[in-house]
Amino acid sequence: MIPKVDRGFFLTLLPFAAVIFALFALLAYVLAYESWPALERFGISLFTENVWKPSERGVEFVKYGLLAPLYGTLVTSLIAAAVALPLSVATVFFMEEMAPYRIKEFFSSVIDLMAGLPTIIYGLWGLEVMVPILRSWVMSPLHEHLDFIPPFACDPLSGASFLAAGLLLAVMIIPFMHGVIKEAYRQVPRTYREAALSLGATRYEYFRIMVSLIRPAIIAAVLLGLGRAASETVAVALVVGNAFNISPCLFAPGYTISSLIANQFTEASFFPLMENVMFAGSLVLLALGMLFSGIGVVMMRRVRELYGR
Amino acid sequence: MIEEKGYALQIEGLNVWIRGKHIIKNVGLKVPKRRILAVMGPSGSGKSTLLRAINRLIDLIPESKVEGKVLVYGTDVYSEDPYRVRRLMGMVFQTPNPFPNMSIYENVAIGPKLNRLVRSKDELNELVRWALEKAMLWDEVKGRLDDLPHRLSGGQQQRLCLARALALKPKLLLLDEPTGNVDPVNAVKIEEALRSLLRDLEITIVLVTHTPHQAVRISDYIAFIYMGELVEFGLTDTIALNPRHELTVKFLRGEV
Repeated sequence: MIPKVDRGFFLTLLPFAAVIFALFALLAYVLAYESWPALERFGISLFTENVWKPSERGVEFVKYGLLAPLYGTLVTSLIAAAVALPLSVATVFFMEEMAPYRIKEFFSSVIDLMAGLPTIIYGLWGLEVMVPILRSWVMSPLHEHLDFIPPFACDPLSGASFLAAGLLLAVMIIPFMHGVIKEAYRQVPRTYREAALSLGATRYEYFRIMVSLIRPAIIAAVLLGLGRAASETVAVALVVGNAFNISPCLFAPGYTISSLIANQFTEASFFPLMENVMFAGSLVLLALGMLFSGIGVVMMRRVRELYGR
Repeated sequence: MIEEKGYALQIEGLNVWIRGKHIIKNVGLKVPKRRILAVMGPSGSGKSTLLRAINRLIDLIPESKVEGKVLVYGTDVYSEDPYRVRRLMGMVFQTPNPFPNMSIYENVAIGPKLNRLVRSKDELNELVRWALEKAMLWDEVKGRLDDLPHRLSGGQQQRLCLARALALKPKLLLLDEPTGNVDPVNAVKIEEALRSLLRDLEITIVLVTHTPHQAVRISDYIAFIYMGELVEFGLTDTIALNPRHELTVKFLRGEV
């Protein structure tokens, strides 16, 4: 029970907190409500088929299936997380353990700054700089020499592809994953570091012990990073190629849910059900995001319990 | 400094600065093999820093500087790779710190694994058991080696840390107020364990404590440190009965 003198203040703050929760609930409701016509019409096939047949003639002529953008979201996010994870862990360890103090603080703030840059900047950089370089120096050589391996089997036409989107996303989520892992790393009390080193651990062995001590945080960073990657929109739309394509080849253009919405939403109102299909896609993103954040939060709590302060 | 036979630990002209502050001031002492040295002094006198200068955990502290010589069983600590030096020594810390994500067994096994002391699983099991017995913990944990250490009491955790250090078969065992955070029963057990180690093994012990009683009770030699200076060093009996320095007298009486 809140003491009487504090009650007025409590009642003043309550509406602000309540508004946030209400907004979120409303958002979830709108997504579900607007998705419903599409879900009702196409059922599970909305997520298991790859079709995109809009028609202005009437609702009975349209057919949609989101499998390609779902596949693209999955592939690009996984590439991003797989590339970003080792880079983030290595950077955290290097900065925290090996870099001189001043350098460490400087680069730490640079990385934090990277996390806050507008995403369109990454998109432009990806489109103008990264994609051409990737195409001439990575994709083409790999395709020429290793085209018997399915991920390298197709000719990189424009360079805009699953791989380009995945790598750009990796660049974008590294600062974020780095931040999560760094926080956990700094929470490990010095006494465990001393214990590990007192056992005669080399830097590498010490690194492995430290990684095992923050393993839940690393899992959390991966999940939260995946969530970020899946929901990133503008930058991906610029480099993913925007084609309804399900292909094991990483050099082929594709789509993601977010980039699909960004590209098609302006015209969506001309076609029956298209908006509803996009809301259904958003609903999937929301569900995935909630799941990943939920697990991530549980993992971070475990870190805090272990090294509680 | 030339190694003298028979000494486990030789320190000469040791100075330590941390962020420009002079923490250890020109300390020198020699401890023969298979003895217990108690380093006693009030809190903040530099005892823990001295210990960390011996196994080079001091390297972890940013902006620290060390001058002087430390020989451990003839090895010059500051001209070797730090990890090779640390493998000669085991350390037990003030707060029990078993790795929270490793089982009781793994906590003891990690040292030998890192240092490739064993060749087979059986040998490792044997070593883990041996270390836990030496730390007087085996009987209490033998049925639950796969449990995580947070299920143990604080005193048991501290003995687990002792076992972890012993599994390396260290020649020099460093203890930083090992009984400071455990109950009296466990404290007695730890002291007993230390005494019996000396009987059975080729090992030398350096124990940091802020209680003169413990120092007198357990040690062969005492080094009394005050404000970073070695005020008095000698045989425990001599120092307990005939302290030469006024500060030592005061500390033994509990007045500083």
